[in-house]
Amino acid sequence: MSVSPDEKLTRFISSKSGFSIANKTVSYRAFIPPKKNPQELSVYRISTLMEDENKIWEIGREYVQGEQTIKARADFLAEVVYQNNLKVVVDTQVHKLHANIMPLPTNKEDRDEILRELALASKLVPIPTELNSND
Amino acid sequence: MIKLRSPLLHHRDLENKMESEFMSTPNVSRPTNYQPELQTQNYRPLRVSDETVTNPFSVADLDFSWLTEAVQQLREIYEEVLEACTLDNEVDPVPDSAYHNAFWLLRLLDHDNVPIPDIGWLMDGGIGFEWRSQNIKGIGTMSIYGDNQVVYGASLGSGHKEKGTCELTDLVLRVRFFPILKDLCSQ
Repeated sequence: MSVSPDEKLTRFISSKSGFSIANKTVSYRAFIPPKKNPQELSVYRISTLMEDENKIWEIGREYVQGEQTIKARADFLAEVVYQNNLKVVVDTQVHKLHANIMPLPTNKEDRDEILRELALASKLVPIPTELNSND
Repeated sequence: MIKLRSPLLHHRDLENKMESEFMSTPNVSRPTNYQPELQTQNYRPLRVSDETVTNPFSVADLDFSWLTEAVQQLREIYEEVLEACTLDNEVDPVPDSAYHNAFWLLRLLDHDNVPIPDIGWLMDGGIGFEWRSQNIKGIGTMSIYGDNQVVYGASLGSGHKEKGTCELTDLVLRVRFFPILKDLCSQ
């Protein structure tokens, strides 16, 4: 199954370091992958859910959120992934809308270059206050 | 509950230990030991006699209000990482040396009048600095992992891109990348 360039993807953000409310921007730090899986970036395909924002946050709560509460998300088009010569690989093991962006370069210099592009292309969506009662 | 002591010094400690190990970069040759003959298109050759290039730690220049802010930000990051590591096993701890390197770099940025970056921690065990242009179309970053190296890069709105990895003390940062960051922030 392929993901079209005009599909909207989102990355859930649990850390304050991942975004700036004041500047309304997503930081490149939000896209840093964990060390144990440095070439994959976990995202969700949300184009089909845009009419009901709550469903998007529900995925975040149920499938992404651990002990750290989700604070925001970064929405961007799959197009920017392809422009950087990466793939969006559907991975329905976790959830039917889950996908991985890969393969991120292992070299940090090249990796950060792509993460900067993702950050620039992203729209920050802070979690609505009514859903943020866990904090 | 065990209270862990932050590796970051309190402001009063800073004042007392200005020339201590915290102000220097352990295991790194300070710029005074660096004797490059660097020629770029826009800059004259830099020599070791260049005070502003070789000695960013002139005591007379210290701005304590700025230092306080920087230390405060790093201390907050330290606390956040500590908490995040406890809650999420995918978060890698940030080594103390990364805080030291970050502080050293912040001091250098301040000395060269580069705007203070947005500072945060990286999931893979580093500290990340980020600058955005006012029109939001440009971005500059530095990633620091405590190995005395800086992974830097920028994407300017014009399509111009820059990236590299260098030692903390490498003059490439000061003569090439810092001016790009200044341009970026003025856009």
